[in-house]
Amino acid sequence: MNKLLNVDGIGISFGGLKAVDGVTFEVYEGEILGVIGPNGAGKTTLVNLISGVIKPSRGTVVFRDETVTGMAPSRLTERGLVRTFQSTAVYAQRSVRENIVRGSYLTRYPGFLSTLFDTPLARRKRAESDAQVDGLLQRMGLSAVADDAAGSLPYGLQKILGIAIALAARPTLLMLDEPVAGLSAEETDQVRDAILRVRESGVTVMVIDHNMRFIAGLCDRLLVVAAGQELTRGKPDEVLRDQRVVEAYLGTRNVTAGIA
Amino acid sequence: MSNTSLNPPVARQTAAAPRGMKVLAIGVLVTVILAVLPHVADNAFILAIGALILLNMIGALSLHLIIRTGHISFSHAGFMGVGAYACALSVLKLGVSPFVGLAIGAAASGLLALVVGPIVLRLTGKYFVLVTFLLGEIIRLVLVEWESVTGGSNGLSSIPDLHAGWNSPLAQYYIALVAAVLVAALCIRLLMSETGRAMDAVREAQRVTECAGVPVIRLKVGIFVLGCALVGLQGGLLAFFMHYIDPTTFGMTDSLNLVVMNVLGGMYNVVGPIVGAVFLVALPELLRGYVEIQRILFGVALIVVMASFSSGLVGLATMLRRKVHQ
Amino acid sequence: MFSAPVLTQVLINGLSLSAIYVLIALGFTLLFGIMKVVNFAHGSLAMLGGYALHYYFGEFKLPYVVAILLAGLTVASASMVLEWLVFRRFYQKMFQSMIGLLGLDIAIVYTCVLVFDVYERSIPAALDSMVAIGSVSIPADKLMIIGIAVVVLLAFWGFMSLTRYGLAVRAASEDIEIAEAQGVNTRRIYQLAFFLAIFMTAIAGAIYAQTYALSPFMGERPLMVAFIVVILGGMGSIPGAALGGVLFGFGESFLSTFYGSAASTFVSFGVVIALLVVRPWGLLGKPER
Repeated sequence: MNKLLNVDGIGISFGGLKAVDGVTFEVYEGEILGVIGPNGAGKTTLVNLISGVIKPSRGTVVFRDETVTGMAPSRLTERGLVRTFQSTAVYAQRSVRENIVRGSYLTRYPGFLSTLFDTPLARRKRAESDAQVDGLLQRMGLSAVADDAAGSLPYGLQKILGIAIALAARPTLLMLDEPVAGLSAEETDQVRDAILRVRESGVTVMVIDHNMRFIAGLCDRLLVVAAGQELTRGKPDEVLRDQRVVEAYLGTRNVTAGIA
Repeated sequence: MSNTSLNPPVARQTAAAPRGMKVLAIGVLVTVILAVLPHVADNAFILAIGALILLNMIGALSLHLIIRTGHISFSHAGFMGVGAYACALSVLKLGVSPFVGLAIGAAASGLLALVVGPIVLRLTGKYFVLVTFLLGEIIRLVLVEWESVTGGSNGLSSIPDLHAGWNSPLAQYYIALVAAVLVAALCIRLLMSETGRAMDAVREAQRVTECAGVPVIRLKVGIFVLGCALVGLQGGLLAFFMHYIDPTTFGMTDSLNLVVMNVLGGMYNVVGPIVGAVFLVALPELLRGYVEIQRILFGVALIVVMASFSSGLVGLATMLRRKVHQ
Repeated sequence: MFSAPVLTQVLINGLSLSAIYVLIALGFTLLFGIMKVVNFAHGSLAMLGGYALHYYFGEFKLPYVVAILLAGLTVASASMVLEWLVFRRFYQKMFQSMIGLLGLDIAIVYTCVLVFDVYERSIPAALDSMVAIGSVSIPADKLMIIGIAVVVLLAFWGFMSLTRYGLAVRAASEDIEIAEAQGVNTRRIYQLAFFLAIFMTAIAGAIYAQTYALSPFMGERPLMVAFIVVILGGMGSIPGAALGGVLFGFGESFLSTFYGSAASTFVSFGVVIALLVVRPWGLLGKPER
């Protein structure tokens, strides 16, 4: 299997607190990797470090054989590494369609002068992007609400829209940051189905969440993170039976039902 | 920053043909009307006000571009000053032709923006406001203190016309009209293009936009440089019109005026600065003689507008239009 | 160059400038820290303090200490009307407050132009004598000014640290929502903070008008100073305003005496801009990431 992403010894400290302390793992093409851990384990910080939102103080990130440590998010997206955000992930005042159009920037943008003068290149890219957007609206089940304001959608659909926006950037590896936080069981299933469809379309997925049941039912492999470090890794049923994992969760206030 | 309701969604100006045609038609119509105006109202006073409004529209529109990326610059008149002085100095001391001087003025402002931009544009909202506030003051102080070059408080005089013989109110009106129309066309077209879409996206949700592949800093700096270069152009034109410039024209009050033109008219709609420029320049000229009362009313108007309609006059018009349609 | 008389002069100047600057900055930072308004009208309110002193001390010939305290109280009380009419509509709305209060500033300044007139006046010095300390001679009125400012600042510090209301104000400046959750009456706190802020600003303005000159437009420089000091110390930080005021006051006194006022202005602006770029939350402020 192709190794898409290689994170090696990555770490950052915030004022004395080691938020992420030397984490190393790989993501293989075609898999769905889950990163779980209790709240405050450093999962989101880990995603921020990989996606360039924060510059790591140590360690490297190699994506498709290119060292991309600390690169700005837009440059990573250009290379096919795209992430979603847990909060404020959509343009609330704009329509759902406009949201995805904005995500489709890389397909759509023909260059400053081209778009200024609406050249044939600009028109071609616009048509390509429009087709892509229509396709995404359909595949993600958002056609019915395409003209509604994104902020007026139920929260579950907003999360799905967030994924659609990320997909518009044509990712090779998609990192989803807490995609089901705050969702009902039904909405969680909707998102889970959407993620499975994403993998079917050929995108490798890395899911970060603290909801054990959700992750266990979705991912091929799990990486457990606690207190900024790797706790263990392996197949879901192995990991969830691991006593240390159970303790890590019970040690925090956040215990989700259905452990092991 | 604004709290508009969620339904219906704000319409995004696409580059779709019918909308573009409509805008073009309106633009041509307005330009023709303004071009014909001097024959209808052949009054030096009106032509002078007209020229002043048109020039200020350049400043207001160029600032508008920067505001659309989410940065309110309080140093815009400072950059106007840089353009004015660079233009005037190149003509007076280096002997270049006035048109080249204009280009040099715009380039000088743009260059300063290029140097300063990458540093200050990383700052968020209120800190950017504060830095540009101080930056504007620094520029003014440099203009005042660097006497050997800028002439200090006495400024620069005996600045020639843009072209020999073009010194009548009529000529100045047409120069201003051509410049303003070109700048407006550029700004409107830019905002309607995909670059404009990216600018709005950066302002509304920067992180999401950056992860969609938009090079945020590069875009913000590019627009900042363009906006400052355009206002530098206004500075140069001002120098040729008034034949004299000094630091007082480019101070805090003038930067604030340009911001107010945008806020009063409507910060996130291109019609806003156009309307704002007309209001802010025309009203004082028409109410001459009662300067104090007029300024007091202006101050009160600002309070009322900011307290009630944060989306400016354009927002008010949109709201009224919606009410009428119901 | 660095002789005792010159250094003493720099010291005394530094102290009196610091006194003015700290008073102005405290008012500004209280309004920003608690109500989240950027008070563009701060300079004009200081200016009103100057006119109040002109009337109480210059015209009515009240004793200096009485006059200046009365000036502060008058302006602060009268401003409560402005608080009710204008300020409270912009609380917690930072950007609207900038432009709205700018409008208020223009309205106040030009109303003063109508009511008083454009021309500069001077307020007579509090005392005419010189005081001898060791081998140096210091103008007594400067000492008086420093003394009054110190008393006001001590009173403010005492109020904030020792009284229940002061504690509430401090809690509100840390986090208004938490303070509210703990039962603090926000409206009362806003009014109290506003009164205190304008009281100190007006006194600072009175001193400033006396030291320099009085006119409706004199507030521009104090406004700039307020900005700089508060940015330096940290927007919304009360100790920051004090620290910033002292640093800036002494810095300006030292630099302008030895290197001229232009150099002093450039250096201070330069430092503040550099600070904003590197550490925008100031020396004692909190980063809001």
